Amino acid sequence: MSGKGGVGKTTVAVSFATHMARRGGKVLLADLDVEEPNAGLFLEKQLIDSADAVVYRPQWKEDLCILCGKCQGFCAFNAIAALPKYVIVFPELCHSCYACSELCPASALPMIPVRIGQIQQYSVNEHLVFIEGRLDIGQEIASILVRQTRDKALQEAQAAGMQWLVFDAAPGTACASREAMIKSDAVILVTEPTPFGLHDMSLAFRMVKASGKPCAIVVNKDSPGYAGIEQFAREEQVPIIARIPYNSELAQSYSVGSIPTGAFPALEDALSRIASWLLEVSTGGQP
Amino acid sequence: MICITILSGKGGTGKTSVAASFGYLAGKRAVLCDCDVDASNLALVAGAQDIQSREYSGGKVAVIDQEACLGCGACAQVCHFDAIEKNGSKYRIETASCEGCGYCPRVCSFNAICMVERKSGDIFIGQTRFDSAIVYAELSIGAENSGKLSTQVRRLADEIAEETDAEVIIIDGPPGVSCPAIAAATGVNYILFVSEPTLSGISDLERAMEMSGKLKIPAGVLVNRADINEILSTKIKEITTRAGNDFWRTMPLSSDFVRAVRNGKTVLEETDDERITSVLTQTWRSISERFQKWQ
Repeated sequence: MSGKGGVGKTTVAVSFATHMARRGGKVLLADLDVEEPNAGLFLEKQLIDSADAVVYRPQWKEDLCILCGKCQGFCAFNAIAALPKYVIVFPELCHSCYACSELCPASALPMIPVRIGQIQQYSVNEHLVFIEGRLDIGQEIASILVRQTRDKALQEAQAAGMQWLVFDAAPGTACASREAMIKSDAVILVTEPTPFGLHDMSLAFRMVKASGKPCAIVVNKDSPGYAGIEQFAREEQVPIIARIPYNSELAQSYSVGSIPTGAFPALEDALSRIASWLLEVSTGGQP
Repeated sequence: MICITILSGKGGTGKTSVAASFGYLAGKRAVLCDCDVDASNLALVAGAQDIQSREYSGGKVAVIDQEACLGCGACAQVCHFDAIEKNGSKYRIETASCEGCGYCPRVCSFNAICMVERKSGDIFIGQTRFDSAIVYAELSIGAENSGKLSTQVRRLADEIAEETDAEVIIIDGPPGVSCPAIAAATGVNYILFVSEPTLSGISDLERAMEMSGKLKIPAGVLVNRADINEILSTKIKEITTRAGNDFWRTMPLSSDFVRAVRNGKTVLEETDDERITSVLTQTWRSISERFQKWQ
């Protein structure tokens, strides 16, 4: 994760996943940036499974309703208006808490599935599986789909005996990125050496720190002339485990959906460092 | 008064650099409004002095009184958000997961659960280096960014603009296409997308333009770092025009953007590169003149 968008989360997530897969590890990469899923652009892949992602929302059954009006009081989100002769559900306000449906004395508000996006699973090669959540345009709440995609990835990884599960999280520091973080064993904070990168990373760090999970910084688009990240790392005692220097050829390669890690020794080196740190953390060593 | 939102879909394309430059050009005629409430950066380059802050609470959270809880578990059974966990022989709320729906207190036979206000962020009002007002916010850690806080930030910016007779509100929006982006875009006069010629940038721009199309708001595109890939820059022009939106101009890849941010300045104050200054100045002039004519 990163806080700020556009600092290189996807670059690091995709190249790390392919790097470990090339070394013989079994890897599952999951794109949890469901609003703008981009990791798939960098992978040659075959679709193996596609499913609609749904949420459940109440639907009013006029024939069952006794017009008691209680449902409106059950809803904390003003998503139900109980009028003298009708009940109206406002789906965009509904949080799918089931209170109205399950507390309705006449069972007149059954929960009905509504599509919010889709979750697709791909095979990249025998070592790498890719799962992507993609929110439909016009859907307002992204975090539910993040949770569903994450849980699908966790199940798959467990079932297939994966050694590495890599989440490419959403930018920001709200619950959409938190959903990825809370089911991880360790967190890589990708940042860039600018005050924007620092500010947003420090907000994301606060969230990770509160969780107590091991965490390290990777500086992407590195260039001399800014000491803010180092100062932060010192004060908060977070290790900076890798630096990927700014490289215009890498930027061009990225633009057409390719991250040939082999062609960029500095990137290759950074990935090895990330792997070592993760191994150290997972074996209980000092991060 | 007109309202212009800067968006992109993809993060890191230069929204804030463009919004701050427009703020610099508009001077005290503008109110600046940062709606990227979970990664707010506009004040870092526009400056913010004489800051006033106010707490914002949106929604509620359940709390279980550990004295009164008898550990029956009825609450955990009805919670659809996995927010209630066992705490010894009792139950407790995992606050970060609680959606605030208020279902659990209704099924507790011992009145052990109550709903309390949840702080969801702080809103700040200050004065920029350009003598305009700026409104921005900081979301509480891991809070739900449902767009409610952004809506509050916008409401406050509206009030300030009204009071100070400002001519324009410049909104720096969040990445993405869901609730926070919709909250930053709803009801504005114009959306300017800042894009970049990468497959990710294009994919995200297409999704973002689909969103603005659904909201029926006129929009245009400015391409940043065009020389990373000229072919994809031309493609952005095509998809922009095909979507019925304005294609403004392109800016080159330049380290002046990074230097400006590091110096806490807008790129317009830091660069001599006319390919950047003229593009930003002319785009701002064209957009603001278009709306002034209509008023």
